[in-house]
Amino acid sequence: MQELLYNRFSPKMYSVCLRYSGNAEDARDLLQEGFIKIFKNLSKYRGDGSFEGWIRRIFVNTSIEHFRKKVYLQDVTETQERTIEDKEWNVLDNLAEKDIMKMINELSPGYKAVFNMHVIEGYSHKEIADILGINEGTSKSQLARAKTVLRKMVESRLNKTSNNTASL
Amino acid sequence: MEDIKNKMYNYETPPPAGVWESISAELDADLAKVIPITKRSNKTLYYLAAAAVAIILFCLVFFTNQFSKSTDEKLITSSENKRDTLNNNNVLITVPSNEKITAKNNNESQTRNRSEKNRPDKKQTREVIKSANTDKDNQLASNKTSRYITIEGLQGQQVKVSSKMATLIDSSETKTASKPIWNKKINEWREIMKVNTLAPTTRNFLDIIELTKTLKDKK
Repeated sequence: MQELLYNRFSPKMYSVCLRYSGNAEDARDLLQEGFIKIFKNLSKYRGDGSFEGWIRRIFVNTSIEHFRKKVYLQDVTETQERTIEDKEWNVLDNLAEKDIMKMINELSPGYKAVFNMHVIEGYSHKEIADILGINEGTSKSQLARAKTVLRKMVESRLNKTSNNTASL
Repeated sequence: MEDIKNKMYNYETPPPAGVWESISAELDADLAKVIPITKRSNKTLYYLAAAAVAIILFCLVFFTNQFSKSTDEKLITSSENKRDTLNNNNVLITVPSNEKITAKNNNESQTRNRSEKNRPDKKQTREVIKSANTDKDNQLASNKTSRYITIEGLQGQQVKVSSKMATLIDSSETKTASKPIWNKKINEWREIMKVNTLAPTTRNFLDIIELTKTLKDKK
């Protein structure tokens, strides 16, 4: 049964681990640690909410716990926060998953954690603030900065592509 | 943004080979650590269960012996005391200890709790029997309140009869019996019962219909 569960959920959960860790080696360790936690605490699953959601939450928490020390989130002042742009943002929509994954992994640990938790896992800023032990404002600002960095990455990528096309 | 969420939420990446083997090995190792603890706790449980059974058996044997001893002593004491006071009719009257205590020590019983009252007490039994020997009226009064008495038959067998029957027997042996007419009747019955093949058990001894029938048959 354990092996079945592993085969069923490991590809998705490995993606989660990769998104948070940024490298295959750490992601492998996280995958192993997460599944061991799941198998040991399987009886604690009460059936409220989806099973996959429960598993995913364990993986996210494991990843956050694993990288908590590495993630250094600097609080920003309200003035700084106001200067951060948070425009309508859909630059990643046209990219393939693999490319998005690559770009997310290029983000710094702090930006990556907040971006993953808010944009992909759907945590609110309050939840992120509670989990990471930061202010809600810090979470928002980290997200905004992550988006700015990603936009720049996309633009640079598009520029490179257009230059290559032009040279041909 | 929602599009990215959907894309990345369900995005799958094949995990590297050998992860499951590592997980399985770690789980097995954890299980192996747990097994001795479980075995040890089971062993302890078995020892505890065995000890509990031994204690229960000891208590059963001990209290059974105590009870039989006290019963024997009661019968012997009452038999010795009563043999002189009763006529040579080979009938011995004894009263169960708990009933006697209730009858004799009525005031005392009020102050004692129920469990103490029901417990067989050698001393109290002796007191009651002594009292019965010295004062026959008291004994009768005591017997009247008892539900049953034990009599000793010809062969020494013990038979339980009602307290009413005890009164009858007593009446037959007392010159100033409350109903002297019974004396004659009972003596007749006794003679018949002595030669009768009918075993003097509680059932037939108390069964008046059977007794009447027997009397009729003899006539």
